Amino acid sequence: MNEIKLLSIFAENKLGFLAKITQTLATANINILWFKIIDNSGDNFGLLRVLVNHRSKAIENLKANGFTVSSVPILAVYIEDIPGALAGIADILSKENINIRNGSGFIFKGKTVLLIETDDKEEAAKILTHSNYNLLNENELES
Amino acid sequence: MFWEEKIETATRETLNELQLNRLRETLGKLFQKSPFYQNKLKEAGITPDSIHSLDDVRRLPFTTSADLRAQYPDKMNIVPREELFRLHTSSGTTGKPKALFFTRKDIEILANNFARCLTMVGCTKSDIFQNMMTYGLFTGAMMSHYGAEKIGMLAIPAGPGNSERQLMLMQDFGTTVIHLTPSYALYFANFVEKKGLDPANDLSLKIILVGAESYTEETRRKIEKAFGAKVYNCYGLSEMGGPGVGFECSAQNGIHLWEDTYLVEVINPKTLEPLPPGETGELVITSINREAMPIIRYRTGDLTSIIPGPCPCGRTHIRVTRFKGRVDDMIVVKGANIYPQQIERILMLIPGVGRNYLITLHGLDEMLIQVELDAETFDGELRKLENIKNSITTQIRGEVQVKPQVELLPPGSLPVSEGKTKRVIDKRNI
Ligand SMILES: [Zn+2]
Repeated sequence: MNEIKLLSIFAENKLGFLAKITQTLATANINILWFKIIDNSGDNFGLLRVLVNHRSKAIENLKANGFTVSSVPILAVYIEDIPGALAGIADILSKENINIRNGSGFIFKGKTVLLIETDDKEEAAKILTHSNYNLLNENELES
Repeated sequence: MFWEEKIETATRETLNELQLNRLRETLGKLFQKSPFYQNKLKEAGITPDSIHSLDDVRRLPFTTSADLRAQYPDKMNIVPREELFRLHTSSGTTGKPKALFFTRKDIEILANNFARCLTMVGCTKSDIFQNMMTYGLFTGAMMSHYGAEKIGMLAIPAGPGNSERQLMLMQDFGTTVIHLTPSYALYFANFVEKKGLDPANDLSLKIILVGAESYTEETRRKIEKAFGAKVYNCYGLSEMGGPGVGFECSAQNGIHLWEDTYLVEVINPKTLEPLPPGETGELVITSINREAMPIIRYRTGDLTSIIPGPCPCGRTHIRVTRFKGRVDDMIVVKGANIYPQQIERILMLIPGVGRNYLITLHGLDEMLIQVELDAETFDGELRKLENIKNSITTQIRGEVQVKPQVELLPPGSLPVSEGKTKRVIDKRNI
């Protein structure tokens, strides 16, 4: 199955945290393709989800700089940059009873990519592939 | 293995007789030579012939930490200057330290006791002993160093800190035994792991002697697992000559105190009445084989209880349980009496919790518990973090009846001192 992995970094709600992470990655020559802050109101902590081009190298560098980091899998689907593209995917998956919990787009090498979190990732990947969608894989990220 | 099998396994009658004789000798010397004790004993109505049995010890007055400070610099000493061989001090947080004097024989006895401790946990002359305790005025490192030398181990006086060099020594010289504080043990395990090494497989450690701070059974297991070595609890206090006053045997169930050197009681810290075996109270120790400064019924401030019954190791000397904290460690939050050890025990049992924590009391009687995460089990999911936080909150509230505020922190973010780690900070404005 083609899937990619996001970095999930434990984040204390402290000013400068994001800056420190981006700096660490920049110093290691790693590109950030996408990121999202998962804030948990009422707690002192949250998570930072980051998509990078060189995941293992990023983990190594983040750990060496004292960050607590893990990887979480996610589906990344190439979509046409036209109105209704997102609706198309939602439609196909909902017909198979798969919910999209979260979705977010970004541009990768000039193409639009949709990151989606779904209930049954494996099944969702199969359905999308059958429907002629292309899924981004980790090798592409690194190339 | 025994260092001195005969005395270590002596019968109760033999030990009691020896203790009674030594107690009477000690009192005799104090009546002759110590103005401090002459007054104290007279006030308590004790005369040199008041002691007929060991039970009479409970008629003797207590000595406190404040007494020792008040006798600073040298009023506790009862031997002539030329007999004095060593001075250590025990520092307090405020004011003058306690001055502790030793004769050559005093040091010899302490070294010999420590040799018993080391042999008891399996150390032999072929072991390499890296001593990561503080050398200097503090008794911790030197007395254990002498014990190691007595056995003929290769002793490396590394001292604490400089983890880089500690690791180098361990790797280059194949250290098999280390002696350090529990917080430094946890810190050091983390340090070695960060170097990309596995402390259990990439080092040659077999035995870890952990003392100078009280710690829970769960912490012991964490250290054992991290290093793949046996951890033995070492108990000591400078006032009684430093480490090796008590030591765990291979049964890892209770700490033996050397009864030919110390007379041991556990008392209720409020009523000052002796407690029977099994009941938790303050450990009180009388030194009965000491030349320079014998101390009568010293209130250690350490909480423990006497374990009844014989020990499977064959030693007959009294056993006490793992220390449950200090009498003065107790904190009162919203009217509840809480020992930090209770909180530590819970934290160390919750999966995902790392090795360090800090309790801060603030505001109008709020308790904040900051807990480091365990990097290895972090899976990047928010739900898991929430679960950890909720378990901590509910379990601690169940144990101490106070609902804590809980914060999760990244591993390595709380301060770790290389000596004693401060677990409680009180910032309350009440
Ligand atoms: Zn034993």
